Amino acid sequence: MSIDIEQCNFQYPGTGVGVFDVSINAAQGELIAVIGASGSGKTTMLKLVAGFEQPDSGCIRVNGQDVTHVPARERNMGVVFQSYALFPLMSCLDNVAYPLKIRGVSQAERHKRALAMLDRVGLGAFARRFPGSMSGGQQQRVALARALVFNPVVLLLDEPLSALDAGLRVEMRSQICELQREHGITALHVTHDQEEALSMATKIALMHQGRIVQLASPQELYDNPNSRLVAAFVGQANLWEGTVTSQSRVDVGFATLACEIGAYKEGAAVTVLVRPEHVQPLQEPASASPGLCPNTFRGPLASDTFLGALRRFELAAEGTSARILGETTARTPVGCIHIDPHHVRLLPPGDIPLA
Amino acid sequence: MVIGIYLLYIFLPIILLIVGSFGESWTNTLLPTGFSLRWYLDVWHDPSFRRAFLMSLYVALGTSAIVTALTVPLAYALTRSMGRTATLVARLVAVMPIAAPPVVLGFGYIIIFSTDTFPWLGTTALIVAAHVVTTLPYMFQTLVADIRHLHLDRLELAAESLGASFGQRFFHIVLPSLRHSILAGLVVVSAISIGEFQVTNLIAGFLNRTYPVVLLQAFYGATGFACATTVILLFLAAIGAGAGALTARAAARAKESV
Amino acid sequence: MSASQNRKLPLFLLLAAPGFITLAMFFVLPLGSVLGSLVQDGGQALLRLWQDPLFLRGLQGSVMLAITAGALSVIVGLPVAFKLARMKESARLLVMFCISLPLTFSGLIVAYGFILCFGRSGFITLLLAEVGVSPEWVAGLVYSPVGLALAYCYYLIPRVVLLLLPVVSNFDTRLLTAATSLGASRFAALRDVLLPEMMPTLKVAFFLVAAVAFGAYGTALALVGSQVNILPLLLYSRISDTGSDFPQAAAISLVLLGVCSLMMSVAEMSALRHEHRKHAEN
Repeated sequence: MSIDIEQCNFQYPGTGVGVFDVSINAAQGELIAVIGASGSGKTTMLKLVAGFEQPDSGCIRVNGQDVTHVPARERNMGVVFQSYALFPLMSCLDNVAYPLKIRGVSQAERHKRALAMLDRVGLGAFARRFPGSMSGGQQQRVALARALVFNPVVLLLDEPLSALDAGLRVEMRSQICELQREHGITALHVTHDQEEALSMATKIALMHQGRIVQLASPQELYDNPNSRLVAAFVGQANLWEGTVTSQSRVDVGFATLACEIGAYKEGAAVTVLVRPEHVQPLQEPASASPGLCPNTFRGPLASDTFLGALRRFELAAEGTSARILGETTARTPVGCIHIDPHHVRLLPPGDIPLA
Repeated sequence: MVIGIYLLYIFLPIILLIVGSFGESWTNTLLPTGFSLRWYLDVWHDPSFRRAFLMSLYVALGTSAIVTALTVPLAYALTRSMGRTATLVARLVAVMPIAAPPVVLGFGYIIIFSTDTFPWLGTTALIVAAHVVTTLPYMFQTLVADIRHLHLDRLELAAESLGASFGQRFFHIVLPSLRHSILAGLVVVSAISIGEFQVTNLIAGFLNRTYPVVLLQAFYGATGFACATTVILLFLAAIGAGAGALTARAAARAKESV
Repeated sequence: MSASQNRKLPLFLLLAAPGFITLAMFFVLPLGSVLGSLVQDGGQALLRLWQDPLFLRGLQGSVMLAITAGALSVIVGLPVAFKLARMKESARLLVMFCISLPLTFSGLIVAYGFILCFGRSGFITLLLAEVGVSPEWVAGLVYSPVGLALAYCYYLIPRVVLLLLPVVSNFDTRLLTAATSLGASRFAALRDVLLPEMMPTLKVAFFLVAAVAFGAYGTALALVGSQVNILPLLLYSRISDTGSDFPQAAAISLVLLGVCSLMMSVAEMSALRHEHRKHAEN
């Protein structure tokens, strides 16, 4: 089923904190990731959808039906909490069967369905165990099973993986995606981990100070961020403030870069984005004078970090105070780099896009 | 060494009380002479002690029931609606019985509950009420600490999202989670109620005196009789302490498994 | 407070109401009526109080009793807590059980136990008489405010131990090692590292215990009748006297209430400040 969040506003009484003018449309089967720094309002938004909080204005629709004033317990939404919130005094089976018990399903039937669901997350053998005696990853899967067993209309995930260690987190990502696709359920996934969002979501909403800064597919968000803020939050980036000087040039202070200026006019202030993977090391200096060849810089490395498959370096451009962040798979010494003008992105100036 | 001396300090009076209660006679000697059960038989046959004993049990039982019925909703509502502030309120309530000395409270009862509006002085119900307000803080503090420690708010939010109504949440999640602290609180409440003397002594009528109030009279009589009556109260308190230790251990085990 | 909690506020109020009403009716109202009867004669009784030698002697006795009981409990409680913290788990549980036994004791049990130990023909008194200590002197001491403090300690020390134990067990002894490695003597290490850490809790324990000792009368009444001069007993005898002077009793009540509340607030403030600092550190 689809979820539509339409121009929702909510403010915690007595504070300036909340969410403002938030709209998200999620089609059936989509997984929308909501990312942002802590305090950006992403969990508040999830609370609005779950019905734990009421928006001051705006509305929330499920499959076109307005549920804004439906109490949380009647919304039929599966929520997975950051703390899992498993009932410590109930066995795993009773935890998963609990929503069915509330819905008046007979004991035999609900145990059968809960067990099937536990099997599905690979914990059938743990049905009689209590949450306290299980690992974080196992508890997480029980929480997932409990949130899905009653065929909810949507699945809401509130930083479900943040308490797990790195290896388990990657494994759980694919399990969540698999279950979500299998149930064909629409999901809203709140996380502060951009890598998690990029790898799982069909669309990502980036929030900042209670507002959605950009809502787009993961590729679009990475390749065409609409602001410095988005570019900096998602992935690594070189970001410079600059001014367009001609049809194919932008002045970034320490140099003038060749680029495609698109719709920008001469004299326009811009933010210039270059992703590190587009900073190409050159084996041989192309010429004696770097000034002759635009977008080529020479200099010593200020840092050089080996990351396994990748190597991340910072080149201190000769004669300037600029540091250029680059990534390469090459292991040879780097003394000169080149940036393809095609990969120089121009963004609006300032942190946040102007409304 | 330190512990040993301290334990001696604790146990010497207790041992002397027990020894004295079985002694035939004890006047101006280091220890009593002769062995006898007559003091216990005397207590058993003493109608005022029998009545007082039953009255104490009755009052303790009533106090326990009322304190539970009042405090569980109170602690729950306060913690859930006020969060951290509830801890402050709990501390305030906890200092109440010490900040207001029992003799002052008892005096207040004598003034207000001998008026025509509230002519309840000397009734058993008023004794129970006094015990309720003096023991409620202990239960309250135990519960507030536990509700915060168990993160009941999160569990309830989860249950709400799974479709549970307020009543279902309260009976499926809240009450079972609090069963250990309720039990632990009840042990303390009943122990205090059974031993309470200072307020009860001022407000009890002649016929509903509790055991400690009657006990004081025994102190002016034969040593053996006084010892026997005191040992009975001691025994009740020890049962309470034992029950308390057992619940504490059960609670600790339950927490380990969580 | 979030909006959803706001929505549930009426429900919470409903749940809290019976408890609050009970406390108002059987705690606040009686105390209020004590103050009320004081106001009735315009506070004259309070002035008369300061010319009453009995009151002044009672106040003196109570202050002595509170200070002695507080100091004694803390002085004994601290080493006991220290030894306990260093005991094996199972032994500690057993000793803890024994130590907390007196907590649930009625003050009367303590009183009669002490009569058997230190009374005119008590066990200890007679033992001491063997080595030449006069029984009269022992009995005189035990039936004075200082002697009462000794009896009060019986159920006050457990309170102190329970308060101190968490602080003592959480104390990182490596800090002492660190201090000595920096050149501090054993004594200086204890004074400069341990004492500041313990001080707030010691203060809390002292005031709490002193307030209990200041306001209690049960043990004293059972131990010495109303012979000894302490305020709660003075109040008790004023109330029990027929045709008693209620404004006078109310004035004594006010003093008791005021002193005990003051001591408890000092303890609470100190505890709160300490916790606040702890939170700020984390």
